[in-house]
Amino acid sequence: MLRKGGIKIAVQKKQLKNKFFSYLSTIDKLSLIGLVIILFFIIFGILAPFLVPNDPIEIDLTQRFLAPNGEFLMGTDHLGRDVFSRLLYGIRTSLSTAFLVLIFSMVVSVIVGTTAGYFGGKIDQLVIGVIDTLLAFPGLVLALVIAGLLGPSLINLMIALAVTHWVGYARIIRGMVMSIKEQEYILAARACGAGDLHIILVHILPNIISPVLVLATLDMGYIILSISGLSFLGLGAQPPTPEWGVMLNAGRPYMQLAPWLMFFPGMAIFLIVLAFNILGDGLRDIFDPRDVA
Amino acid sequence: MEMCLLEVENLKKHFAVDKGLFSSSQQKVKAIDGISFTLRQGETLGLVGESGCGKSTTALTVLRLLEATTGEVKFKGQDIYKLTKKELKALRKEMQIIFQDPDASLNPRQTVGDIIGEGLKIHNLASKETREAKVKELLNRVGLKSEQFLNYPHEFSGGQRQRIGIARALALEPELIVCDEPVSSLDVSIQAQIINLMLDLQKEFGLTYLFIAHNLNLVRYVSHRVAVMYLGKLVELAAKEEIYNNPQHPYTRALLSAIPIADPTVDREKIILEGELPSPINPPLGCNFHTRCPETREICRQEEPNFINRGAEHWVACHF
Amino acid sequence: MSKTNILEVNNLQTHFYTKEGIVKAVDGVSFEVKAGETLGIVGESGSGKSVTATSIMQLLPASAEIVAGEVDFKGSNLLSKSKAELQKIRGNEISMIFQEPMTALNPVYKIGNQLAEVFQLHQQLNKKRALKEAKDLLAKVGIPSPQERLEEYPHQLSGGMRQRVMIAMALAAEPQLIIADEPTTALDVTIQAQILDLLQNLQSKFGLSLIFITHDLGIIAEIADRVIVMYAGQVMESAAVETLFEEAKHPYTQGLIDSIPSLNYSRESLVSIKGVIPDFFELPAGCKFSNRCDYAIKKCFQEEAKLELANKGQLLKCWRWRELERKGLGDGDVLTGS
Repeated sequence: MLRKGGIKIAVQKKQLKNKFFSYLSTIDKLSLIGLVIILFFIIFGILAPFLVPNDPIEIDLTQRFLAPNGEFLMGTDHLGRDVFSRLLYGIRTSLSTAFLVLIFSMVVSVIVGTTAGYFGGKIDQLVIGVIDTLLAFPGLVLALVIAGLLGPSLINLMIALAVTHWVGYARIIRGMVMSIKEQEYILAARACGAGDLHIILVHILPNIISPVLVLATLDMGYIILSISGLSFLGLGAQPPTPEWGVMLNAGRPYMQLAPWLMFFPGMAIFLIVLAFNILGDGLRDIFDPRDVA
Repeated sequence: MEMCLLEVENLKKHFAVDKGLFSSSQQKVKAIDGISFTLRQGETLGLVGESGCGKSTTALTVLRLLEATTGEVKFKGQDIYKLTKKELKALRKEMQIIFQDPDASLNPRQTVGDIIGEGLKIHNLASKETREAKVKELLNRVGLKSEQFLNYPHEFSGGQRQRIGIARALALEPELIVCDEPVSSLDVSIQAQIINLMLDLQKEFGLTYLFIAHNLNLVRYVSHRVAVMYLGKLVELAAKEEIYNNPQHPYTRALLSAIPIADPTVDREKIILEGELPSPINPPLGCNFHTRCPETREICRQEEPNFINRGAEHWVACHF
Repeated sequence: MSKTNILEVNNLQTHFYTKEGIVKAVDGVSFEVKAGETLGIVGESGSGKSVTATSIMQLLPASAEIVAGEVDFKGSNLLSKSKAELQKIRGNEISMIFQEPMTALNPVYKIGNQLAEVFQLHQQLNKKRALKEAKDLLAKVGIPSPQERLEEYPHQLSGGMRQRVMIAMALAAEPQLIIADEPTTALDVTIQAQILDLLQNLQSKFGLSLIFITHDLGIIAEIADRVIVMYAGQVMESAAVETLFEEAKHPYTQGLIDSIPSLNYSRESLVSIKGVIPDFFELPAGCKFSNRCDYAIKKCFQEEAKLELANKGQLLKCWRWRELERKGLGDGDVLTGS
């Protein structure tokens, strides 16, 4: 009995897997390049401790401003640190911070947006009030204020970004939920005796998940940019943490003397943001050929 | 046979419409405005009317998928508007609905198996294995392949999707199925297939249908009795042959004469109604059909006619 | 009335280029329209009836192309005309009425301005005279208080009224041919009756030729003089309307007629055509209808029949029509019902 069930689940899983791969096979070439770039960054980030030729924060004043060469692939900075090693560690900082901000925003916005959109009425009016108020502040400025109040650190930067970020999603999700709620299959489910929780879990969430994933992918680039930007301004990661924004800031005074100090971190930010954007566009095309919301 | 399965008594559904920022008075759309009818076990009652007459609202309020403003809907003698949430959930097994648009009424992210088996799952009626077996049996019964239970709705054609909707309605073994324009989105050759299926199922399971449509030919074909609705009210209700051979209400007569007949040799005098359906926000006073009625007299503008039995269960709401 | 052909369509082929491949939406369609007559084109979804209409008007989307054929209007081929020449013919000599008038009317202009524009363009009238003509035309198509309607926007009108405005616009330039693509499908029966009545009146008044596209055989029976039945981009049968309803010889036409509940309300069983309308990429190799046909033999699956002339000018695309005619196709057990 148990075995039989196990096999069936395995069969279903296999079909799901095939479905995933068939999704991937329909992705266009450009998005595939985006995906490959992102995977590269992730692998390099994870393997950073084993890949780096030098300690990213060890200062060696005898080797300042070395141009890229065989030993230091991307040269060294004003304190003689290896730019390549710092760049690799920077992947960890940027991606993990951005990812945490994204997860937090997603969870909060899905809960808030779905509740407001599904139940409507007073709850909805309250949520919409809060959202509209928060959206009236320019997000980056609000993040600046929060980071300023709590003191500059990576954790505080994450809090600042997350607090401002869920709002936009919540509003989009609320809209999607409201339109899905009006679909006839919701009525059909209610005619079968389904309760609110069942309807939300079985009929609403699965239908908003792919557009939300597309949104998230497109937004990942924006979050990475914000983190680097605020760190560049000194409100996020603090030196000597290897972070791209921090590296850009540190390299700025020596732009003429050692352009590689800004070129490589700038390039890294550019590449990863671009990769997320083209992947997001590609996902939007394949995830739902038939429009959902 | 003569047992009443469903009794609808003076059912009303009014929607409030906001007139805008500067208007203090709230207006009401009287989508259904006091309709009464009964449905006998095993029969098909056809409900016809033009768009906006309130037939779909009737479908939803009869099943309490939409709360009625006032009125009674008794299912096997029990007023479903007096039931608790739990009692209502239990009753849902016995009354089901089939929608017009199989595109919108099937969740695109659910497999066909999950769609059809959903009611069984909600009511905990079967283990996973028996549920699957039952779904496969239903798929076969409505003319689809049982292997298709893992497929998604978009992998089917329109007619096949409507079969899935029918299988879902059958899964809980209901007694009453409300069919809201079940074939009007389908092509002619496919319509016939679905209608045949529905009639077969009725025979096999002793189903009772409330069959809502705008196509009078179709209603004539499937129904035992027919009710005609205009602007939120019933204007005529009678046995099928009676209503088609001896229509009493001028609206019914006009509606019947407006149907194109697929026979070029038939030459008949058409009654062409003037004007359009008035807005249900401000329905005409008196008889609400008087603005378009070819036989309007003074009393029609002033007094609303009652819905009266003219003998042989032929109900008409007309002064003449 | 002279019965010369105003429009002749010869071997028209329109292809759509999609991701999945080439869709032969119109696959060698030929027919003619005589002056003053109504030609009905009937078919289900995907039969190519609407694409035929848009091909004649050359109003196809970018993904479609007319790959072969001729469309002779009053003796000259429309397909070899320049854009400017076509524009002159469209609206002036041939005009079109669509299913959903809301999408065919511009929502940001008043009804009066949209109508007057046609007069200004085609008859070089000044604005004031054009508006006067517009008002008269609205009255002609049965719109009450036309003066007030001139000042209204499309969304302020009901569906039936909008369709009347569309008809007025189609008539404005006094065309010789009107192509009506499911003009009453979105309307209620009583309003549909009004519009059909109006179209027939206008037709006899102005001596128009009409191509009426619909899926409803009932409407065809009422309005058409001749009918062509389309399936999967091809003409399956064509005949005078009486002939078609009395002695349809193609199994598809017969199936369509038998599927209508009105002819046999015995509550026994409707005759239905088996199977589903196939996707364009799953069409059978031989006769396009063979996989749904009850009478298909081996030959039907292998080879496509040619359109053949039967008696009374009836055209048929079927290998077996002679045989089936002798046997009496699917008759008796069904039609005796009521």
